[in-house]
Amino acid sequence: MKKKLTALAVIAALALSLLTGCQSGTEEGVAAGPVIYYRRTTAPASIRQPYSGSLESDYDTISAVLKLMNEAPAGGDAAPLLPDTVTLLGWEKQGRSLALNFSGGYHSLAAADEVLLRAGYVRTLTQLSGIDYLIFQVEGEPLTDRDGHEIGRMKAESFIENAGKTVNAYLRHDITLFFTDASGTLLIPEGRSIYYNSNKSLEWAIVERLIAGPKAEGSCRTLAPETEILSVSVQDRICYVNFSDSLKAPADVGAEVLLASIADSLILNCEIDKVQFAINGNIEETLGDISLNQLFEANTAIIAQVDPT
Amino acid sequence: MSIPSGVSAIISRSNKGKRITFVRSLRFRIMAILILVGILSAVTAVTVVVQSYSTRAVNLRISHVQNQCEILTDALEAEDYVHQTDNDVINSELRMLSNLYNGRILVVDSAFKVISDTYDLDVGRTSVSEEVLTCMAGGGAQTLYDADELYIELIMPLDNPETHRIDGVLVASISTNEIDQNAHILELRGARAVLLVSLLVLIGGFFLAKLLVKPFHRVTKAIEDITDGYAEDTISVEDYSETQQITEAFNTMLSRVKNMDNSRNDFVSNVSHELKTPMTSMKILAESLVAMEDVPVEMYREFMNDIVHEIDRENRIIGDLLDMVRMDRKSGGLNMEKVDIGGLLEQTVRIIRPIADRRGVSLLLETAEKVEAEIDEMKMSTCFQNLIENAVKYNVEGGWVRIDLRRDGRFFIVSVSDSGIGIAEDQQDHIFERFYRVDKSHSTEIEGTGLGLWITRRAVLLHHGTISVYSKPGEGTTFSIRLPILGTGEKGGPS
Repeated sequence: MKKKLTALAVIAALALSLLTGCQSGTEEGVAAGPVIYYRRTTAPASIRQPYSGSLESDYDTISAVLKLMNEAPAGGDAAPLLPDTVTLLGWEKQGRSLALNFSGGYHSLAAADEVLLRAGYVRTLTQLSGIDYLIFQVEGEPLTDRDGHEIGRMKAESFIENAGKTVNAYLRHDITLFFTDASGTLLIPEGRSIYYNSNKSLEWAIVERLIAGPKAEGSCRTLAPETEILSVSVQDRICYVNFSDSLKAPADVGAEVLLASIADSLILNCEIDKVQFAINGNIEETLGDISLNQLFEANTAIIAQVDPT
Repeated sequence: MSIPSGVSAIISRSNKGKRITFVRSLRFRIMAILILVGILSAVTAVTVVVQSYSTRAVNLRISHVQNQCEILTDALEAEDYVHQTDNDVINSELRMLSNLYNGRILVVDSAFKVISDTYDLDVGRTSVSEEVLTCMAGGGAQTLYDADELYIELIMPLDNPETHRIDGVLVASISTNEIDQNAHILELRGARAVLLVSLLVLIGGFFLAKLLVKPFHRVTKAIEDITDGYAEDTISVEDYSETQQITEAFNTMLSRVKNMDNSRNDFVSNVSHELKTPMTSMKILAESLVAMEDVPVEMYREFMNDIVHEIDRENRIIGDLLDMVRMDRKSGGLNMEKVDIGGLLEQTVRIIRPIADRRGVSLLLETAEKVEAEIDEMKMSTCFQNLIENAVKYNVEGGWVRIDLRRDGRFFIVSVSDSGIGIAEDQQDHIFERFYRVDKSHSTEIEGTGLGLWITRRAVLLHHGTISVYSKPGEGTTFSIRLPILGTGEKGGPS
């Protein structure tokens, strides 16, 4: 009888644990490290396979990676992104860009296959340390979109795959951005409601939005659209913003206004009091005739007094 | 070890015994079952409700958003949004929808470029999501729900009303975080409720179990009262049919024990009576001899013979009593061995033939076939002797006795038939009782103790056999004994 009771107790405990719904979440096999992109044979989707080779951008590594991309792993439904109808004629590294030249069969690719191919090659090869952009050519001619415009340099961030999955990671914040007027002397405030990924800081999101430019009519950008942020960090209520040497004011915009637009946008919306700028990590730089070797505080003097509309 | 600690050891052992007994008691089991069932039911109920809320809430949200998106896609198609994205009306509708459902809406054109994003983040980027590619290729609208990442995704194609080609795709991602949080709150409340229920069930179970078990305690007490002698002859605890069954069975057993007690008393008085009778006769004979003067030798001899006769009778009674006592034990310790039944019967017939001849009764033994069976030879020979003796004793002058032996499957049958005085039908039930004599008036003419048939039947039953009687007064009687050929394992040595 004792045995029966213990058995019963065990069964009851098991039942209880099942009922309380043990959340054993299914972990997808997300490859955390470098990967090679392939595609699925049965569906228009990408497949990632872990890559453990060199991440340098020398000749041998690039050749090896390109070769790997043509050899799908056995088993499963992975296939190379490049179908039999298209061949890679050649490639050339140009600075931090890698140019790939494909055969004419490229134009006959179906839209979905073509975009998967492009995304796969870009996302795979930009993992190598010296490569930031890819340029596609077909028979030596630059690849154009269907409207005839050149597609130009592509970087990994140009492609998005799972927009929906991260919907819960986004936070919403109401901020005021400062752009400039046509004369480039005053700051014009622009209220916005922005979404940003909680993995990135609000400060980064603000600077990104400034680079993206104003939406209001009459406002002009204070930063060139190619401006690249290297890092944004906050410590002791000081925000450190580090740009690449792409930092450059557009025409008609003074350095003072540029810097003030960033500083004011950050200080007003975030928990900071001062901003420190750097170019490539170096604060000994000058922008225009202003030295970056100082802490910038909020400059409210040049904010235009706009009637609230 | 001094005695005090020994005493405490005994006390503690009995306490431990009490604890173990509680665990094995019905009360504890009822309590445990009630608690288990109560808690399990509560947990199941809460889980089911929370689960169904989640499912329903998600499904409801999906259908709402689907509805809205369908309206939206119609508007997008009508306004050719894919080529003109600065449509304020549409843009504000998009934003409103995504705010309302805490989600994000993307519009992708046929070159897979994101042309509109309510998060304002991915415009200009190229979508390579499987769902978008499939939808663009004509895969139709899709709805996904990811329960781990807590979002719903709706993908809908934008059909060009004129060319009937797919101009683009609408992707709506809706967070179900809120539903998940609500579910957790419900779970928490549910857990609290389960806790409350558990507490109630614990207390309730404890007392209910105590209550339910009370009748059984009453049964025990009733039986104890009878044992102590305080109560009447029957007990009744009618609370449950189970307790009623127990008490009824107990009453039956008690009455049987009483009957046995009574019959034992009767038996003792019978035995005393039986034993005394020959003694009385002997005393009378002896006293009358002594009382008489000048008694001739022949008279002495005659009286002595009578006394010897009575002594033989007394011996027979005592012998039968001993047999009876031996039979009365549970298994009696049968000494099974393989015996040739025919031979045994022949032997018995030989012993009785002088008696039969004296009475002018003929004995006939017929064996249809040779039978070798496992029996206790001593006991069964007593049986056969008893039956054949009876057949001769209760016979008429010049009558006959026939003994048959035959085989019947796994059994063998010995029948003793006689042409004697027979047994009346109403007395046939009683002849196997101890000390029963058919007609008391015969007791002086035909000798006997009244024990013979009881001993015979007892021996037959010990062998797992049967004995039956067929008789017609004035014509004759047939006794049949049926025994298994192979003994049924009642092997034993000396009892």
